[in-house]
Amino acid sequence: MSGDHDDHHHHHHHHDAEKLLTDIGDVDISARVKALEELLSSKGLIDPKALDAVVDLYENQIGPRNGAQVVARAWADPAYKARLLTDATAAIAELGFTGAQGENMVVVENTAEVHNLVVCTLCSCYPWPVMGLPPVWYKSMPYRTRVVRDPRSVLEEFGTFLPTSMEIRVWDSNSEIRYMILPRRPEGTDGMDESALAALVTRDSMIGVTEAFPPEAA
Amino acid sequence: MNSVHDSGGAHGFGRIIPEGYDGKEPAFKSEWERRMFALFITTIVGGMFTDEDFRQSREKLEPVRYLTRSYYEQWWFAVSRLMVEKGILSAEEYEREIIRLGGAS
Amino acid sequence: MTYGPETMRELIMMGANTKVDPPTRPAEFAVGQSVLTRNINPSTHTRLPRYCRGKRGEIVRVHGMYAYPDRRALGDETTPEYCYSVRFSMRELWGDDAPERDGLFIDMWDSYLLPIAEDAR
Repeated sequence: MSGDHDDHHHHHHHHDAEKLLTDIGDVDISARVKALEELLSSKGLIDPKALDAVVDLYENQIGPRNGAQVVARAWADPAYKARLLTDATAAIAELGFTGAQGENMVVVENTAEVHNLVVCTLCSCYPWPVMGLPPVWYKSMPYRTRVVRDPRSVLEEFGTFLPTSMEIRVWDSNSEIRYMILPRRPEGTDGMDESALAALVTRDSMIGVTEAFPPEAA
Repeated sequence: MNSVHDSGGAHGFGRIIPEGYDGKEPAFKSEWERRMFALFITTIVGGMFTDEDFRQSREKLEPVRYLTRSYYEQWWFAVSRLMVEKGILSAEEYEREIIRLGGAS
Repeated sequence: MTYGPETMRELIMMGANTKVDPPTRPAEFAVGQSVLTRNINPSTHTRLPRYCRGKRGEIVRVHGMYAYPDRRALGDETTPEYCYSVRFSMRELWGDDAPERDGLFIDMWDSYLLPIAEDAR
């Protein structure tokens, strides 16, 4: 396709799209979603069984228990932790976690001096292979607008009170890179095995809005 | 583009988490959310559009709808716009199908 | 292409990376270098947020070469660029009421950045 006909066609489609969304955008959302599925399926453009497989993958198989395993391994094994902080994509892949929205991973470490947290101000970028799908609050305007400007008030809303002497780092995920926080290992966890350590790691601690649980709270 | 999605630092959006938040919530709140998520994945993996196409399309949602429609409904707007812009679905057939299904509910 | 459930699962596990490896040229900027973000206001897609335009920061990491999103959104995948993690002090972004030591780290492409002299910060 080339030239004037394509440009005219192009503008036409843009205009049609805008008009459609304006005219039909208040019809019940489940009907609108069903319409999309029916049309694409009847044209052979998607396989409904593939849809079922995608739902199952993200509802039942991929989730923050993956990231918890990564964190627990890093707490238990200093050499693994070093690899995780140097080349997170490869280290995470050692545990079998790969794929969509985790192709380029960076893990940053919380310490006694530095506390990190992650956001995507422009949309909802999140490291799916280790964390699953993001919670509603992470994708919503209150978090996306406030955390880059006043992270301490955000932490307090989550019940996380840090000394004012600590340095806070907020990571805005706006590229191909996906960020995960390595929370601090809680006190009193010496000698715990990896699965017990993993049970202390919450989803919210890997976003950075909370710390991991101390052992008695788990 | 300078639309409302780009509001880092804005004031006034209020509380981040609901009262009684327990750190857990399901990935999807309803069947249509499940289907919409899966439709996005199958169409983007199927090569019908890129990540940037999708983000740009979502950013074109007018501010009132962007701020008031739920997350996966915003995805419906974004994917639907692309399906018509790229000539995969015609606006006429899509509208017909929506009315056919929407009228019945 | 229409994929069945097994292929879809495999493709998801493989992911889709725009990284250009090895890169086709050296990076424009280096770790430790001071930079100023451009004041661009495209009507099309960009990943340079308004809160971070015309601000002074420091390169902290060179991620490598990736598709440049502003062009990719216009259908042009021929101009990959280096992507960097850049640190901005919270005071630089929000004023002197912000805590002194806190920072905002965000990824920037070559086209978002201008070099500045060290003492300009």
